[in-house]
Amino acid sequence: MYTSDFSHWIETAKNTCEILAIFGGATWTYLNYFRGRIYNPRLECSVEASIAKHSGHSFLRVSVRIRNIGLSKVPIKQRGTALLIYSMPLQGRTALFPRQVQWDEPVAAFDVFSGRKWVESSESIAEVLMVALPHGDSFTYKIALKVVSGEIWWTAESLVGDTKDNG
Amino acid sequence: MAIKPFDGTNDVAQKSERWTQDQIDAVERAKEQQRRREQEANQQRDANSQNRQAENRP
Repeated sequence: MYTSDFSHWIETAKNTCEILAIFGGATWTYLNYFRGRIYNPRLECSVEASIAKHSGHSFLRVSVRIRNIGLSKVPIKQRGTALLIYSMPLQGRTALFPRQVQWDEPVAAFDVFSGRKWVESSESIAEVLMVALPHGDSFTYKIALKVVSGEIWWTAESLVGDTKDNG
Repeated sequence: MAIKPFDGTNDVAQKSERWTQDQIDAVERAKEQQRRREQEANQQRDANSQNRQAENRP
């Protein structure tokens, strides 16, 4: 009689532990998969630019890189993916108060990562572009990398310029 | 003239957003304009080269 009760309680405790384990696993999966967003497509974009001078000509050297920091493959769409270069509009007069520079339409746009259809998890891809600058052009640019994947548009921006006084 | 580029690694700003069709179209227009300008520049360069060759011909 006593042994039978003990077995019954052991069996009940075992079933309870199994149920708790199943719920615990489900909760962990939910938090990990949906709330943790680790399987959402995630890219880390970066752009670096510098101005180089060769034989009296100015060039913009741009290095663009994207890294897949998620755990799923991220597809890339060429439509909308580009490297955009904005030139700072030269103001004829000094600003009367500190204000943000308004960047107009891009002065140049280039295809990047043309041969790529996707980026694997933890994969990093990079490209380097050399852009010849017009003679006498201003040396302050905003460089923007735009990468389209699905419905998301990733953007990385950087500024490049020199410190010379344009007078 | 001292050229001191900004440190790109410190200046990079990142963001992700849902694109709109207008934004995509604007980028594609800029790319198309770039292609057209490069094509025109190449044609102009070829024409200049042919003219020089013609002038140098005895």
